[in-house]
Amino acid sequence: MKKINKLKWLLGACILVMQSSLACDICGCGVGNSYVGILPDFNREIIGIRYRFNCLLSHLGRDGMHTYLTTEESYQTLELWGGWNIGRNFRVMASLPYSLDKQTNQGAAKSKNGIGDISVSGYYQLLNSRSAAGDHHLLVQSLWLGGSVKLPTGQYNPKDKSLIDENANLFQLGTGSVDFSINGMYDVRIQDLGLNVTANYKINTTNAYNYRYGNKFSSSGQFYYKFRTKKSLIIAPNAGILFESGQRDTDHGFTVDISGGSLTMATLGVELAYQRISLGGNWQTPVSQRLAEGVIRANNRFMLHLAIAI
Amino acid sequence: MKIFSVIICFIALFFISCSKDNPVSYNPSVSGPLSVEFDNIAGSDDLQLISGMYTDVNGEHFSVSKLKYYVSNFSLVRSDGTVYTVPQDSCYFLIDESDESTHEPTLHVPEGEYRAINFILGVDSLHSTLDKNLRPGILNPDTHDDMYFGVDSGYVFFNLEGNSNSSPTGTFEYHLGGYGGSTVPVINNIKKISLDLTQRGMPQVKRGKETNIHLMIDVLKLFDGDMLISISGDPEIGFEQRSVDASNNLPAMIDHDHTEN
Repeated sequence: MKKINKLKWLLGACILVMQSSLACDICGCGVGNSYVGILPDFNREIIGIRYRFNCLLSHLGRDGMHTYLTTEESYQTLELWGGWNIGRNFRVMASLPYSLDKQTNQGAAKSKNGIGDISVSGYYQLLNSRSAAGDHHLLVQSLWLGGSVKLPTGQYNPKDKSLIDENANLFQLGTGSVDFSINGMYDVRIQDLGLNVTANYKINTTNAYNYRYGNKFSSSGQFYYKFRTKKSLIIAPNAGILFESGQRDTDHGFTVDISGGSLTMATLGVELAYQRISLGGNWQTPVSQRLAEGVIRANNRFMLHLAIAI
Repeated sequence: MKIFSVIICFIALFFISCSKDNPVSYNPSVSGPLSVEFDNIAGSDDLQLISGMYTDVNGEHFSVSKLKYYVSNFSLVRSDGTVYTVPQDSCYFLIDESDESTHEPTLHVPEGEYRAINFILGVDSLHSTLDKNLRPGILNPDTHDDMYFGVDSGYVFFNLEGNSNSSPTGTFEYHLGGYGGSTVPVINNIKKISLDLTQRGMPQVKRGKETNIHLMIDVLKLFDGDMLISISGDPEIGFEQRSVDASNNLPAMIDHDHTEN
């Protein structure tokens, strides 16, 4: 009986959306950076790896026309991350990303890879309640508030700001600045049907090269349903929407007109949990966007992750 | 208590991070460089003289051997709506695809942010009729005779030549000009170009900083305007009525692609 309870606590009790304002502000079109994935709750410690793929078109001409400057860009990130619970209500998370950036223009490709920006987040659980909903159902709610600090460990190369053909300043491994974010996560679940809502506001600072990425807001809502199989495997498909919006960047105090904007994506994913292991993935596709005055167009993104509760 | 300290931390964080950057201040009595790049293209390709093969709207394949044009009389509209007119002694340029040094004429304009640029594609009637001795350099008809018709017809302000199997002779040439004439009234093909810069990035001019307005000039649009021009139908256009149709297609060739600040 005790064992079953523990299992429930680890996996079944609450699947919580963990939004990590980690890494890759840049590859998210300079707008979003938030990866949204659903993690099993964990008792003390959790460690995981995450792979993300983003691609976009940059330097589009007027009305989205392709010009000879139009460039395909892809951003792949492999992240090692960990989470620690401190007491019942505090949680600390950290992430170390490794990125591979690639640009292709007129058949010529250039790429760079390396460590990205390390980030550390702290969360506080403001609400964690379980109550009866009707006669046969359980209502579970939780609310977390947190803050993150992102350190300039990823290389920022001012030359890649691309003065020759001004482009959004995306082709970087890191922002070169210490950045902060405020995160909120709310999860409500009636028995096996849940809704996750997240919000994140990222405040960027000016880097050593006097470039400052615009502040960014992102928010998501995802419905999920947990199917429990007899062999203690949980399968939780999820679907929702993700909204990102960014202010314009500044360069030596000058506003960068071709930056910022907003993006709405539909997301579809599935999470699997078996004992102490969780495995999941999601796919995001733009439903509406206006990035960098139309000079940038985001394409589909996807993410895969594997996590183990220790 | 814990909650209270968490909230305090957030508020502190917010204020620390929100220290505003100093906005840029402009001194309108000081000038800074502003280059205007005339980047000749053919659809989604960069234009390559001789070697590049392109296809016009009529499906005719062609290459370009010469592309030269005059641009002049620049003025810029500040973000507050006031206009700065570039002085006459420094606002005539001959863009020659074969000479890279001519692709980005540099203007010197007061510091500030500009929302529109105006110029003339061609040479104005005053400078078309001025005493030849007062037209030195690129405006000298004797040293630039491929860009000049004569007294009443003036400059060939837009010159496109190339090769195509669609032409009976294997070549085509469009010599567009006409300022209205001085002794007898004739055609005027000079085009005033006004480009809004707010959609694709406004130039922010400051001394000690380089700013470039990057324009793209698409040769394919010469064939594909209000009037269709075909190489087979019009292998040569000179100082004639048909040049009015071709010239009417010129303004749409020019687009503001982006600004490098």
